[in-house]
Amino acid sequence: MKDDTVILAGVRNVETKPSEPFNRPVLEFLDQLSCEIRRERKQYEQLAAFGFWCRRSHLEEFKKRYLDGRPRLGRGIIFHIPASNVPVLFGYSLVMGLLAGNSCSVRISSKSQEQDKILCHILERLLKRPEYRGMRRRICVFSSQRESLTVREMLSGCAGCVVWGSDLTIAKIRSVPIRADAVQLNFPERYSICILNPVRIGSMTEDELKNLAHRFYNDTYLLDQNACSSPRFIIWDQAQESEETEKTRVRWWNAVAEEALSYDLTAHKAMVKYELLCRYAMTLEGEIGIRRYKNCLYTIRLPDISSGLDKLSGLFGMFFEYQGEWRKAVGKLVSSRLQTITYHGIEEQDLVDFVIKNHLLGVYRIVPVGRAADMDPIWDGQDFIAVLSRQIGREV
Amino acid sequence: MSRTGGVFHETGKIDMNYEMILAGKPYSLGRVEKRELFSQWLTELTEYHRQHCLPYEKLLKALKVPSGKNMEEEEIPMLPIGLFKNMELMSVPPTDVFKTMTSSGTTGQEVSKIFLDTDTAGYQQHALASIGADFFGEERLPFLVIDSPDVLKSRELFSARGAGILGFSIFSSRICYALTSDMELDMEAVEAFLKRYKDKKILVFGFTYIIWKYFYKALAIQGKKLELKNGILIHGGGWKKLISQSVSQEEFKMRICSVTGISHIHNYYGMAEQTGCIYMECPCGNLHASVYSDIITRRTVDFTPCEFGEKGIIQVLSPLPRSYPGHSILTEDEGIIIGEDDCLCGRLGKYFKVTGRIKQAQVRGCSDTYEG
Repeated sequence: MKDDTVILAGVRNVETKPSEPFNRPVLEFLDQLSCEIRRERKQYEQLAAFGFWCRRSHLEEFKKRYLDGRPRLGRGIIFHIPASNVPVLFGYSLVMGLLAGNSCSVRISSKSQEQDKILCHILERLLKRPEYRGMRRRICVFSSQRESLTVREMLSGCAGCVVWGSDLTIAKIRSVPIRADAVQLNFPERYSICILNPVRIGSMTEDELKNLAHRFYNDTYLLDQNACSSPRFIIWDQAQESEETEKTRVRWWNAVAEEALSYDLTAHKAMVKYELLCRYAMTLEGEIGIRRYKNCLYTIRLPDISSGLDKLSGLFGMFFEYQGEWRKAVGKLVSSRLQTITYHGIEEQDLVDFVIKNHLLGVYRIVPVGRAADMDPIWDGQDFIAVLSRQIGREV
Repeated sequence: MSRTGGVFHETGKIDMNYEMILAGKPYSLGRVEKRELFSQWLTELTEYHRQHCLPYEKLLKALKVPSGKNMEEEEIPMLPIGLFKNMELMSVPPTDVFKTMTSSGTTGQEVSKIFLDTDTAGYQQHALASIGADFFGEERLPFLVIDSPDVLKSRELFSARGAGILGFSIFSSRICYALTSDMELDMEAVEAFLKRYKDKKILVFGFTYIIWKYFYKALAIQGKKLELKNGILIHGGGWKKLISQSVSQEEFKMRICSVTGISHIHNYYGMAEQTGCIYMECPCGNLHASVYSDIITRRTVDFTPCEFGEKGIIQVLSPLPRSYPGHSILTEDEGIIIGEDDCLCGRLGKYFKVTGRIKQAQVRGCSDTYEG
């Protein structure tokens, strides 16, 4: 096996000893990282968002959640295998591992995105400073072939691993032996939906509508509508169709299409999207309603919700929509793969209650429109900090 | 009456006059006349496929394409070429399918499946014959195929490579295959053939990449030069593989000439999804649409037609496909229409250049993570 490992930031052999979650050196280092990114890299959307996300005050908020007087310590070395086609995802994964009190090794693709490379560069520059000598021993970001010796070694030696990717990727990683006591956090394929209340949207001013459409754009187009958290399905919460609600829908999609003008729609994306649209038009059952807003936005209205709809997938700005009472719709749509529900004009508590009372298999996150991609220590129903640290039990 | 998808349809309503479509000279229609005829033919054909191909009918309904409206050429709905890859689209009962054509996809790729009945296959062959005749005359010629005879072995399911050979063989008086079944250059057979037809005009045909890899390179390595001064080389099948080896059209022509002496070299643009009505390269270096087909280039943002000189996604239209709904196809190629009716070679119709395949970009998202 050829070893083509390239260390992009930090050191190859990281410190094996754990430390306390949210310890000061980590918070100070991440705060400095946040400042550096925000100072110089405003033009890269995802990188800038990551920089803003790991600011001190935000991480301190996370910290508060774990101030319950229970003693915690990290686990040692956490190995991360993030998805290569979500820009700077590795950064979020790394931060979660560090916050939980661990050293982190991260494998990124050698064909990684520009923003990933820039983040590595900034990380490495900071880690070379004398004041971060301690942090340097806790971080290793490297690129290598997927089946490299380094990846195998890291997997077999780590105290835990975090894997983001397709079901196939996760199955492959799972087949590699890891330590008996190692923990594993997997983030497999998911899909997401959005519930909109037409009455509330109908009463919005132009500015409010534009603002909401922009947030919806960020949830979807920014990641080519291909992230697990990007809604592909829109439920219009209305018992009955009326002229008014039809008008609201058109107004909403026009506002989204307007936002989508800034999307980088290449010829390739336009072709793939048109082909997908035609394929659905030719194969879906029942009377579907297609609307095209140039090639920026396609919508497919389904007359009914039947099983198997979790297989439908939009891409590059193509949405399925359905009108009906949201409880009925979610009940029919849900599967264990349903990740995020974004909403507008619905009470969050009602959604939570519905999921709990009906013992639904899916639904891991319920957030307002615009927050679909916001990373939180609770992700996909799992608690990064709790899993990647150990709690020392004692008699109370 | 014919039966499709469990529904009986009247077929008598549409009677496109294929004799009329096929009767004309291939480069004889001027802009105004062609537009009018194509609008009429393609509108009729859209209606025909709507009635005979159920998935196509569903598509038109979903896209709200009205029935019974006279459409301009630009308004004819486009079928993305990728749909032929895993959908079986036909407008005749399966029992009428006499040939299933497959595209020459590279190994591992899915291939298109095109269903031909005898009529459609006949129209397409006729179109090819008359386009060919315009370039190298009506007379039958000795035909040197730069491929292996094995390509033609399966008659039921044959590839675009086989179709090309069979199609062009209608111009042949005698055929010689230059490659063995192992894709080795059969020097003995080729030299004997060339000796026999010394000083005669010879038609040489093959797929661009195969000519390059198995013919040119074999000759170059052996340091041999063939006596083919009177040859006319027709080649097609895309430049993708050659571009990856940094071989330009000019270099291709020069190198071929250096080992064969052939100076008449015509590239053509065509696809399995619309065989027959190929776009031949004229001596001015432009690809030409014949009366059997037309080309429109479209903008990414909204698929509106491009101006001449503006690069866009290529759409091909042809009244010939009747057994399958392939009369208006959005390809995955990009090109530039240079003009219409005024190429210096004198041929009427649009002329253009193909700039290549649409470039694929990395797609963001979490589905595929582990590559590279």
